Amino acid sequence: MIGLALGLLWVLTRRVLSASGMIGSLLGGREGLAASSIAFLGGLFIAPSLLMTVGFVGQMSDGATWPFLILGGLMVGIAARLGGSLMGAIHGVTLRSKRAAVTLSGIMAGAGMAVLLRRVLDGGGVS
Amino acid sequence: MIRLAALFCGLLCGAGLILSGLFQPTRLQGLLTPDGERDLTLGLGLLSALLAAGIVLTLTHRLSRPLLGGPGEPLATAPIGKALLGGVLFGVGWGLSGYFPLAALVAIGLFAPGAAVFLASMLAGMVLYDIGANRGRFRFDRIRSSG
Repeated sequence: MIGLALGLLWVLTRRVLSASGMIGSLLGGREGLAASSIAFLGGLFIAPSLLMTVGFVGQMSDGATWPFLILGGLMVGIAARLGGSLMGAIHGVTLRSKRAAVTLSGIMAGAGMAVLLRRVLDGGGVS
Repeated sequence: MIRLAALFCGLLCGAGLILSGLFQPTRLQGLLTPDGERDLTLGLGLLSALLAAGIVLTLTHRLSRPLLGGPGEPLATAPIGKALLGGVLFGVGWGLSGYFPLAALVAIGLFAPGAAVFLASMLAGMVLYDIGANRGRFRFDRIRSSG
């Protein structure tokens, strides 16, 4: 479904399905992209509520403490401005872009390092 | 029509993220450092998204313009070093927080406070970068109010 949405969005409107890219386009970018960004982000946002009305029960827990969330958020924001985003990279890879493949490898390597780092911090942290 | 299509794709993508459980911030740790059982959901989910997207994009690669018209956006054209740096930064941020932007948006829809913290920080990161890129000045005129 995610892949289908990504493909459809590109074919119909030529937008890259990437939340950071969409949010970024609200903060300055090419003219005329804001409305479709808002529509897409709105769809993402109300999807859980719609599913709940048909009986889906959502259980949510944050995977990290606030310092990690803030630090991680800052890094992802800066990365998005540098052109790094998960869905953007996946999109690029399906179009056989070498640059996107490099970004995707970077993401996986970075994520691996960070998860290990958190493991070490959690394991050896003061409690 | 473009907005309707964007809304529909947002709904479809959100539903996909939720039904597959990909948005859960614990998935990444489950994949990379398993406690007992290795959690392959994330890897398989992203792989199938890649496949489905690849099929749609391959079938339609001859279209030079978007079907519904509109401005559209170009793919990222950053130099390869920047793309790598962006990728690594994104990955570290993802690994530390457990969220990527799409997942955080869906999680906010499920009232997860941490996702809001994450997204606010992400916005701050973008603004900080822009301030840096504009040598200290944040250009409010770049914020678009309408499309």
